[in-house]
Amino acid sequence: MSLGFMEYEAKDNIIHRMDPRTKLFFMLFILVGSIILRDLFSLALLVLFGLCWWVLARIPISKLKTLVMAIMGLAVLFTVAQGFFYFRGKTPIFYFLGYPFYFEGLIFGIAMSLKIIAIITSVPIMTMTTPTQKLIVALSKMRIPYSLIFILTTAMRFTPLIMATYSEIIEAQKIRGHDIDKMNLITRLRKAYIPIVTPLFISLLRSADELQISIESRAFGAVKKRSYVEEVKIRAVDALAIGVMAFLMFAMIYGVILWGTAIPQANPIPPWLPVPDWLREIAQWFVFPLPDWAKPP
Amino acid sequence: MTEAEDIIRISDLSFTYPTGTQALKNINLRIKRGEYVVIMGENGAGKTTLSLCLNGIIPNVIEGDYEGEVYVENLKTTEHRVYILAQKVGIALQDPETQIFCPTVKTEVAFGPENLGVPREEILKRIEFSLKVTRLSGFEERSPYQLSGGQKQRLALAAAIAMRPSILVLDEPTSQLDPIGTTEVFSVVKDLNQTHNMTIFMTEHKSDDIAVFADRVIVLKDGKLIADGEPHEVFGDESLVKSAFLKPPQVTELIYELRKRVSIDKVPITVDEAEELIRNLIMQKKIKVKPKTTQVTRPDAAIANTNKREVLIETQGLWHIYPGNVEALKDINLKIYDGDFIGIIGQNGAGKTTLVKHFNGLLRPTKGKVFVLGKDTTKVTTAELSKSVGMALQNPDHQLFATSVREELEFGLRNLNVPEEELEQRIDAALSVVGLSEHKEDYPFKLSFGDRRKLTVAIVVAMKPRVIILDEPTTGQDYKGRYEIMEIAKKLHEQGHTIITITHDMELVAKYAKRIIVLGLGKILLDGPTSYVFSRPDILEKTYLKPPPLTQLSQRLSEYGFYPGNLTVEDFMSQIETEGGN
Repeated sequence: MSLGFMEYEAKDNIIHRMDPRTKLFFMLFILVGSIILRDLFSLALLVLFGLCWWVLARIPISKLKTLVMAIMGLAVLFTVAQGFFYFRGKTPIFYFLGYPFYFEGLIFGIAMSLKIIAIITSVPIMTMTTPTQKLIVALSKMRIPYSLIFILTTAMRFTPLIMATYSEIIEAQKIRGHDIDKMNLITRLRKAYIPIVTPLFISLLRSADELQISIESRAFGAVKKRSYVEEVKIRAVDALAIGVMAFLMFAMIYGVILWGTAIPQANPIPPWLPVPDWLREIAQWFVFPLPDWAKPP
Repeated sequence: MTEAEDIIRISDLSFTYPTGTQALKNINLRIKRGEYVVIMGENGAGKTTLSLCLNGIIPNVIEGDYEGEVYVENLKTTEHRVYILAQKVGIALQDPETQIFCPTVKTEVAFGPENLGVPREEILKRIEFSLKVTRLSGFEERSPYQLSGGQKQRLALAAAIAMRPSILVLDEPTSQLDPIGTTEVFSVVKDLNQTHNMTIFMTEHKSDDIAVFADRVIVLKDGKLIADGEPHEVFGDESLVKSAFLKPPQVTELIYELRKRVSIDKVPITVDEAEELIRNLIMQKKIKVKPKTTQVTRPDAAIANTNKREVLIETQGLWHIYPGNVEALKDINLKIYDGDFIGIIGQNGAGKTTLVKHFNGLLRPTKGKVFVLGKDTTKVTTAELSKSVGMALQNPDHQLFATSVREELEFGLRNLNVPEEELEQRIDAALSVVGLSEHKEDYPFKLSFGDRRKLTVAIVVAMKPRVIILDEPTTGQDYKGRYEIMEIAKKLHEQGHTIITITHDMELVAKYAKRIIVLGLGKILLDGPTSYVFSRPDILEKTYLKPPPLTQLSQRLSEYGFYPGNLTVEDFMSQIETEGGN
């Protein structure tokens, strides 16, 4: 159960060099997109956009595969369920035990799965390319109170420790004949976890106590304006990336309000806006009328 | 003038915890700038409480009944916030795990000054200095969690030093460390004291190590300060040492016996001093050396009579490779016989715990085989193996969860399907062996740490295994605690159990174990009778171990006929003849 695939790995490429705030904005962008977009084509573009970042960050495809495999089960289940039960289903593709599996449901299911995939694959872009100490400074520059930042980073620091303690406790109880791996599901649920969870909680509470002494002894909370030894700076590449994403976000919202999809169904520039003709022509290139089956519900 | 020189002034200090325990009773103490003071006393005597009073944690963070006054650098601790006092007094505690919580070494050291709003350039300078003085330069971008125990403790020191304190308080800083880590930490502290004039206030049990550095030794007992003096004075006072349950340097223990027969002026506390003393006594003809009557020079002597003893555990070509290609054990071949009392020693990372985990099935070999009572361990479950091989783990708190001691013991027994009628009797027997009978209905977490350790041994004993493994029963323990555990092990051995213990305490293992296995980087460096193993310092060095002080003394004086395998005071004294007969 190691979160190893999400941990920071030092590399030198454009994404690694970006300010953490840019990457946070990226995550926000993906989040907003997956919430407001509903049609297959727009969502596919969103996921594609995220994948570009994966490639630029040089994250090995194997990590992407592991992640997607983990979600795949859920995605397939969802798609199958929608195929049979989608209320707007009209066109059956095949029959299973007499029940129709609808094309509309299939499309809807895939679209919903893409939403989940988009969000989940956006997280490693942040976690695998940003060292924690830079993230801390970035968050502080965003005026987030240090106590909250500290809670986040302490949780990150203690998670592996908790997992290690959990393994040690499991071992410790194994040698008393309490082997949870060998118990069936019912027994497990009934009594397996108390001898594991109790010592775990107690050890956590103890650690929290000792942590308190350590941080107080090092002046935690002494001064309102805390200094930071690490530095982050917004540079040209960050401004560019944020600018592009901001524009795209505007375009997405605009498109969804007008046509229910991010892909322009008509020339996006309104007729009353005074713009040069060549600009209107360029805007026309992006118009792509969606086929009926791909239209948002 | 003297008042102004006192960097720490404690007057009539008493403190009672909200639970009702009175930890300190009327402490009066004055410490001068630049002194290296060591506080000793058994667990529960008040050492940690006293340490936490110095930087204001008590009473500002930990509340309780506080009386008296503590001044550090002329600041009264009850009148200033902890963060002000923290700039005068740096503190480093026992457990490296919970004191370190930042993503990199650099940010860990910077944490303190950052909290104070110190400008960035200044922080960078402080980091450079702190890392230089703790010998961690170059480690700035490393993750603290990949450091060794000794490195982690030095990091904790660096983080404390970055606050630019003039006083450094260390609470049992080496109790979780192996011999190398211990040496590293003491060496760094010595530098800080001698080169940078930091005042050191350290609680410790390891008298052999601190005897060299300490200017002053203070002894606490039951919350009271019962002695305060120069190390030779304090350790020389046998009745004081015994009543406070202190462990004096082993060479000093020798002198307690020797001075009953020969008059001695200055009591030695280090091996060097003892060597000088003995040489003088021999030259002045006040003592003569008798040859050793029984010598153990053959490595296989511990395995004498083995063709008559059953092999309980056997490993054949055992390799254990952890994920990431870490070769923890390389080609281990050994046999554990019925009735053995074995000590396994070696630096951290040598493979000691990895090895013993193969005996009770917590680990299975990557290559090779392990046989327990004739059965291949890959064919038996861990629960099944635990019936024959019991293990008391390093951290007792990982096992305790019940509401009474009795329930804790019942748990393991029921899991092994011991019939109900037998439970009571087994529990009583186990508790009696470890000396916890009176705590049968108590809540386990109300017991002291030493007692909780004994409880985990009782848990093992109740399951009646043939082999009992004790994994580092000495970490976190005071002198009394560790000897009590070993005495229990000795009793169990006499009752017929085979004992295997892993420890860093050379003196302790020399006294109790009959056979020693030395591990170094996954290989067995030496396996033989205790005297033989410790008479080979050349091999022990390879895994950064040293024989017990008296053994070292005997080896240095071997030209006079002292047997290089002497382990205890009795051994040494058996070779001494004084004037006027024996």
